[in-house]
Amino acid sequence: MNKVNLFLLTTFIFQSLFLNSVFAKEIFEVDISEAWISEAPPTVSVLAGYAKIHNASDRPITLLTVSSPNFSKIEIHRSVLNGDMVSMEKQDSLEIPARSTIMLSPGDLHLMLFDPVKPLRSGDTATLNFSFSDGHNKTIEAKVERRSSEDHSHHHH
Amino acid sequence: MLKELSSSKFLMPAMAILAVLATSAGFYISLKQAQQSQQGGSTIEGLFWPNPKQINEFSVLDQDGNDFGIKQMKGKWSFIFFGYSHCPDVCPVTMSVMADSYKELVGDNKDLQVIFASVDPERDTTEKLSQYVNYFNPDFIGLGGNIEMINSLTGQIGVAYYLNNENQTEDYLVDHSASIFLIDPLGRMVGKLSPPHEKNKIIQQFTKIKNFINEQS
Repeated sequence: MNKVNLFLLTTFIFQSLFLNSVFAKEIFEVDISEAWISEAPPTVSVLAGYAKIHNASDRPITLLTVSSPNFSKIEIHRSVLNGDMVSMEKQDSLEIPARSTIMLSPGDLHLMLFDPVKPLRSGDTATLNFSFSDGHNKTIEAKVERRSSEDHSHHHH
Repeated sequence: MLKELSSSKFLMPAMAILAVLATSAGFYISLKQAQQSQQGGSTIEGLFWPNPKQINEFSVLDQDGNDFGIKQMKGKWSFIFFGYSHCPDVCPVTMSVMADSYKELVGDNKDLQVIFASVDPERDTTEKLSQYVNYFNPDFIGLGGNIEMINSLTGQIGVAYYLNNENQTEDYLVDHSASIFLIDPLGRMVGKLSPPHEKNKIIQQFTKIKNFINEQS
């Protein structure tokens, strides 16, 4: 191996290491899709939000909070069936394991959206801001839709 | 003789025969039971038969503020679900499945009524219940009232609920039954539909139970 080749190789290795570390900071490998909010009957001030959260990275990432200018408060909840009784359990955070997808879906994990700033009807959209444990934030628009009995088995879009 | 019996030569086959006889008897009995319960209709999922519970007098208010009791259930098939309007997930999921099921069933079942019974007397006023049930279907009935009234109904059906409001906040949650109960026109609780609720499953179960009950009379 001559000197020039060695130099090129070293440069190449150095560059790839450098670029990798730069990209690791730039690319946030969490994707939020199929987000929707169920329209609530009039006079009801709590709504449910659903979405698909995919973590494409090699390490687990934790969803810490969800906020929105359209609601006074948002909590992560899970509907839990215990025998015949159903209860909602508040989740302090939600871990998305490496290379996996978590579904927020009817009758299971969901966002509990409190007190909409103004009434939301089917066709409206609301902004949801997801904050993760590594400091990243992701802001998406969720469409308000009327529920159908198909919500259980498949998702909108 | 005794000595011979206790010898392994005799004992082993005797035990084997006994075991076969016992197993056959057990099998025969369970087969008989299975046949009997099939005649009794227990193979229909969610059916309470024989001896369905007779629902007796209870006193609640409907979404228009009118008295509602067992009298309003007689002569009709009633689906009844217990929940609360501040429930964002399970209750509206169940009610929208009921709305779609009702739409398909009502054509052939004019005597059908769908009831949402609130277990949250403080927040679910008559006015709120009226708008809540009307959103899913204007035919639906919303039941509520004060806590004694609600307990008169939950006591008859035999369901529990729990208000998680020990912190006295406005956003409290309520634990409640996830099942849909089916009351026949004689006021008997003849079935319970368990979650997850799906339109086709509800339609099938209801049709089977209704046909079975009609065959009994």
